[in-house]
Amino acid sequence: MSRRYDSRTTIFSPEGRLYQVEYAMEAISNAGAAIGVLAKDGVVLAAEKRVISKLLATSKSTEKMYKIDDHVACAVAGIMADANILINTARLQAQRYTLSYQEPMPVEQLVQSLCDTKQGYTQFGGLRPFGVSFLFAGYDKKFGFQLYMSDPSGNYGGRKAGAIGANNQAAQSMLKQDYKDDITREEAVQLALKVLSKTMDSTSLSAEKLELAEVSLTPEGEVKYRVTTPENLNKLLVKLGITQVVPEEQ
Amino acid sequence: MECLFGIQGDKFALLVADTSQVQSIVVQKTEEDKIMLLDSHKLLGTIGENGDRVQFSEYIQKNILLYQFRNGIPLSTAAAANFTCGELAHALRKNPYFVNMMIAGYDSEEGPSLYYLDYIATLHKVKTGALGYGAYFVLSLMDKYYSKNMSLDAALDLVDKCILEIKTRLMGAPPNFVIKIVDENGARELAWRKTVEDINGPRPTPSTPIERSLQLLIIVDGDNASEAEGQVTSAPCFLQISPSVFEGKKGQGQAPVMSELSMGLLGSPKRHQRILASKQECLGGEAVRTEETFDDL
Repeated sequence: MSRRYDSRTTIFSPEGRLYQVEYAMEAISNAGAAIGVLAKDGVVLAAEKRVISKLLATSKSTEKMYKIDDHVACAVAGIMADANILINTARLQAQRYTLSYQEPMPVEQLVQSLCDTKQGYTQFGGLRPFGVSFLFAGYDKKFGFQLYMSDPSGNYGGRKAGAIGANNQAAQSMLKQDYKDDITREEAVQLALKVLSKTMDSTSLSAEKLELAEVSLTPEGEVKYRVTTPENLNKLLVKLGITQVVPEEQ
Repeated sequence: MECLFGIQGDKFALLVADTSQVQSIVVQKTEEDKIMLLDSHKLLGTIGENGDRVQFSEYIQKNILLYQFRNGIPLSTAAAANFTCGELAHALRKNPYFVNMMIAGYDSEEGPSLYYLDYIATLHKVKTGALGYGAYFVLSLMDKYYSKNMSLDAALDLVDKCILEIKTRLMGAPPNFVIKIVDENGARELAWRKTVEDINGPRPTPSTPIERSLQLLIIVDGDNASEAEGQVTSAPCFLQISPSVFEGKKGQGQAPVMSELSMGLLGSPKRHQRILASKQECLGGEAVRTEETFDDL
């Protein structure tokens, strides 16, 4: 049998690899992409929505962006069913923390608690790992705006810019080239959309295939999570020269 | 009659607590420190059932430190106070702790803050607060003399006024008080206000093996310890040794230390001597008997 070390999530192969975890990561690189960019005055998340069928009634709310707490949001790439479970635990953790300490949970702690859950499935047998990667965008008093990226192994890291999902390698190398320190949120939106438009398979980019969300601070100092409406997104795409004309459905 | 109160001033917060340990009508101790340092910038003053007091405050302190180790950042004072309140509320309907508390802390963003927390888990952020029987006298004083952003000197004046009032008016007023401060430089003890000095205090418990061994009957035998065993009588000679004699010998075990000592002091290792050394005598000072006096034996 060729299947020796990849049928169990918790067994190392002789080369020291966990195949199931790697397969889970592979599954994600086929999913719709998501990009996160950290700016000095906020964090930007952009994601590709894959419209599989014309018959599909697209969700009224966001499909790939989720608010976890007032100060944290995330973008998802991978198996949505798995993601929903993890988002639920993340929301629960955030509220539990608020209950204990009466203040918002530091972003990294939230990411870490979620990644601990993910890690558990690479070590304790019988279950498959979560096939989800996340980009977390958040703000806390101590460390300001933050962006984190996590994968199915339970690894996570703070980022200035990051990409998950399809073509993430290409997107990351583009981000590496074009990212500058201390960019504004507007520039970050521009960068995210540009990179996404270049790495997505589809030729024309429209609001139907995109989601854009931002985490920022209001002048009063409150954290604000805002999802760009399709109308505004279309306008933005035209303004940035990514789409020449707003494509219309026949 | 316990007293605990706190004042938040300009860039600092003070906690004051009595230091009496009372059981029934007996004052067991007058130097019991009831204000604990939770971390570098937090103070927790507790009064109430003594067992609960120590147990609960250590539980809170250790959890706050655990948080710091896990997350690399300290809890804010507000978070620590709410956490403490939550733990107390959680225990309230199961296994309640009878502890009243004041929490003082200093955060770089928020500045100083002071919290009142009683045994039924009522949490208030306050500028001044008091708990225990002392509160009956102290609250009105603080209402009258407290001013916003008062200086440390002014706050200490107020503290002294409060202590004086407690001592004048409270039946069974505690004699001693401890004052602790927390500001940007951290939490620390500031002063004591004492009227009773614990002169003897409890004798320090023996801590090192050497000290412990000195409490016992010691048989000094240069060559063969077992030979002397069983021959212990009311020893004919006493050796008074200062603990400093042993300073360099710690951790080497008892027998070699004593045999070296017997050689050094008696000059004749072959001569079996039974020496009784009590701890009290050992703590008394330098070795008083010389070689000469031993020869007399």
